[in-house]
Amino acid sequence: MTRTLYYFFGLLLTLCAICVIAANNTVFSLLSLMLSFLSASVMLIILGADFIGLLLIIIYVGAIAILFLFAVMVAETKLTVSKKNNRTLSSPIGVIFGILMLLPIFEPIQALLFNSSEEYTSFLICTFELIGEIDAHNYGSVLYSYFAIPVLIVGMILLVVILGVSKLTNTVHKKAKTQSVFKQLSRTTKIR
Amino acid sequence: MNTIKLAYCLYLNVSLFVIGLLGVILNRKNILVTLMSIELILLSISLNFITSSIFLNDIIGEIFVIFILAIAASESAIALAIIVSICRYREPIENLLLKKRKNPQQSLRFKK
Repeated sequence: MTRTLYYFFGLLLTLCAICVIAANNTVFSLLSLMLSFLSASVMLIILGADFIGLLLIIIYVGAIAILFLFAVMVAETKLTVSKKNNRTLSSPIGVIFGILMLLPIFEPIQALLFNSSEEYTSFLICTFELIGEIDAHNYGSVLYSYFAIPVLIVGMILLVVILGVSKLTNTVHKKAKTQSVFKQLSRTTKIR
Repeated sequence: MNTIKLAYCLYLNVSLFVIGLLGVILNRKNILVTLMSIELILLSISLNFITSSIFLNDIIGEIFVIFILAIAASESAIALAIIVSICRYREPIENLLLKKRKNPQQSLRFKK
């Protein structure tokens, strides 16, 4: 049952990923990207990594989708579709490059598929039983002990990103004339 | 019944990676779709990490996925901020990387 569910969501993921790059409208490709992330998170939950699956929903579908939607809303009038169809010229290049990329990657997988027995190439997936241990506890115990320095580096990167985004999108002009409220209020009038 | 073959998972992840790569190569008109294909590539890589970590019963792959998520989120945030700030004073952005500009002074001019 769970294996059939995994196959179904894998097929859905591939179809949505094809829809992302094939759709003409940007909003449709964004929606299919979100559907592909949802199916990927369901696949991760089936595999047994519950915490990462939920994290994928929270980060991608909750945050990145809204960010992309905002960018589409702001920039869609400026993002004009070019009249001449460039895809006909570049698609054979892409297909040839894709096949050339596929061949060396599939070689070791096929070796693994045909030359070894069933028990080494298959693994147990989630049986949906309630177990007392939580995934997040294990992640925290590894993340804050062995991976302490990478966590600090990721925190620095996020700080740099926050500063950079606020610098890029800031539009306050320093030479613009504004009223200073304190100066106005503290000024005494002649009529008392 | 509850076991799954590793080869199927790897086929799926590699085909997702190639789809994202083709999206980067083939797409020539919209820069947002390029960003979305980069997100697909990162998703396929993290799926591959998680599949391998569950197959090998090792938690380090899943720890790496958290780092990949953080980097992907920061990358898309920076790219979208750049796109929004470019859109403010620029005529249509068809594809910034591939298009040759004939008159750079004219296209970078401020509009009021």
